[in-house]
Amino acid sequence: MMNSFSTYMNKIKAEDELKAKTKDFVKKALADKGNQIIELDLARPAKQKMSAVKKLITAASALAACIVLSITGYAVYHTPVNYISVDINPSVELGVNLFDTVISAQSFNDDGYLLLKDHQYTNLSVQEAVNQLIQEAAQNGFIAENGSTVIALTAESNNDRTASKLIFAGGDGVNAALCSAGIDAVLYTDCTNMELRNEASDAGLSPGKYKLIEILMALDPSATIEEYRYEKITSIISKINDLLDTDAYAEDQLAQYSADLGSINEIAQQVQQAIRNAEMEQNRNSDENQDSESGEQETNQNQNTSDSREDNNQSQTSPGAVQGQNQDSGDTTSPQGQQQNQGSTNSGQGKNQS
Amino acid sequence: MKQLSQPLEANDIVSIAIEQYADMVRRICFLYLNNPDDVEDVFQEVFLQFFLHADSLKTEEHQKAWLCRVTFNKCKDLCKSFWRKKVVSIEEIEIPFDNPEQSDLMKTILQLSPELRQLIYLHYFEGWTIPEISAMLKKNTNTIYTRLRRAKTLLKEKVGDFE
Repeated sequence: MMNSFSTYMNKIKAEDELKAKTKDFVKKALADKGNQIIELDLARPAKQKMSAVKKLITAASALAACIVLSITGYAVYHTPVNYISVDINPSVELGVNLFDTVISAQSFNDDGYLLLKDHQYTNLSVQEAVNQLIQEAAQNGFIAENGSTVIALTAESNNDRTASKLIFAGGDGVNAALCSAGIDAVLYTDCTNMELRNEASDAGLSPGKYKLIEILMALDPSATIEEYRYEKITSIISKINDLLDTDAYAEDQLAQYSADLGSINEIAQQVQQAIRNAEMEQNRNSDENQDSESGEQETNQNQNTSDSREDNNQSQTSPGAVQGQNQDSGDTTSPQGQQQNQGSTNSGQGKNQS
Repeated sequence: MKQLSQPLEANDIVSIAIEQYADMVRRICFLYLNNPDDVEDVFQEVFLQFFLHADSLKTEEHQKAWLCRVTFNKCKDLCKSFWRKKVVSIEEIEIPFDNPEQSDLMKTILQLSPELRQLIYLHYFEGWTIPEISAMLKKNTNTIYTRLRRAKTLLKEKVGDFE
């Protein structure tokens, strides 16, 4: 069947007209870059003698222009024109200027404040800022080691291309941080416009979380913003997915979110898979430990069946043997004994990576 | 003058590279876009970026991987855009299918999420291994395995045994 896929894909060719247009575009773009260099060389102005007064006026004008430009430049640099928000359970929004530099950071909840306090995210690129934010989140225990945590990245812009660029940079930052921390997580990305950002701001939520709660409320009219305000993104997405599975919702309510639902379903499945993988790993490790402890107890039991009391005293230094002896006549294969051993093993094995 | 001679050389390189990689870029666009303007947009942007980054792309393998990754990212970004969220519709495809099974398979693949479509293409069409895909996409190998397994499960549910 996958040969069938390859056969079909091989039929797909770039149209001649498309190739021709692309060649023309690229050649022109590259030529413009080259022409600019030529023009700059030829356009160097001839030097002329100036009177002293004229020199002074020119210098003063230049100084005034510099001051104006500095003030304007400062204002432009420090004005956020787009935003990107990061939601895990900490909710943080980064303001981005025209030069794709982060110039502000605000939190929407206490956990978000924890990530921001004592750290500087401004004057960094979006990728660097998101990288540091995610690493901080990991260090503070907001990202589960089993890979089931959802990190929602939402670009906020009225410009389509800019939003895509922000998501791309933010995604790179998330991936770099997870690699650095040696953990995995599930990344959910979305874009919103400024109108939704304003609505979210009125509700005291980041746009990413606000939109997900809106989708949830479209599926379940009894849900409220207050009910889910402090919930993790992972929980909200799982809830949305559960509601989608029931089919008990009005289709027309979801029309505006139809394109998001596929992604949400996909993300929810990744979360479930990560949890399943972690459980399987946990069970595998507990079985292995159980086997090795049973072997150890049998060895100790064999020692205990020798005549001297000294042998018994020595075996009491091994925890497994003590448990077995305390329960009954040293039968370590009793279910209770096994469960106790299993309990202690699982608590130690709680942190497995998927 | 050097500046004048550069454009002439660049023209040859541009034509050769576009002829070499255009079909690959077009196939990737097919998986995500059905708007000719979007396809043209992707072509222009990725090939311009390709030539601007040409110095750092030493081998043909490196060039292909770079172009592949950038094209996927550009297509996925367009798919995620607030204003243009459309799934490729099977009815709008002009290339005829060999048989109904092929039609079902393509329809199912085009309904997968953008990430899974990418994996199906890289693994089953380009023949890349999981570690190669993992390196290219800068993702954990386990993540790629998990996603490919999920893609296979979804395909099996819809079209039966497909391998």
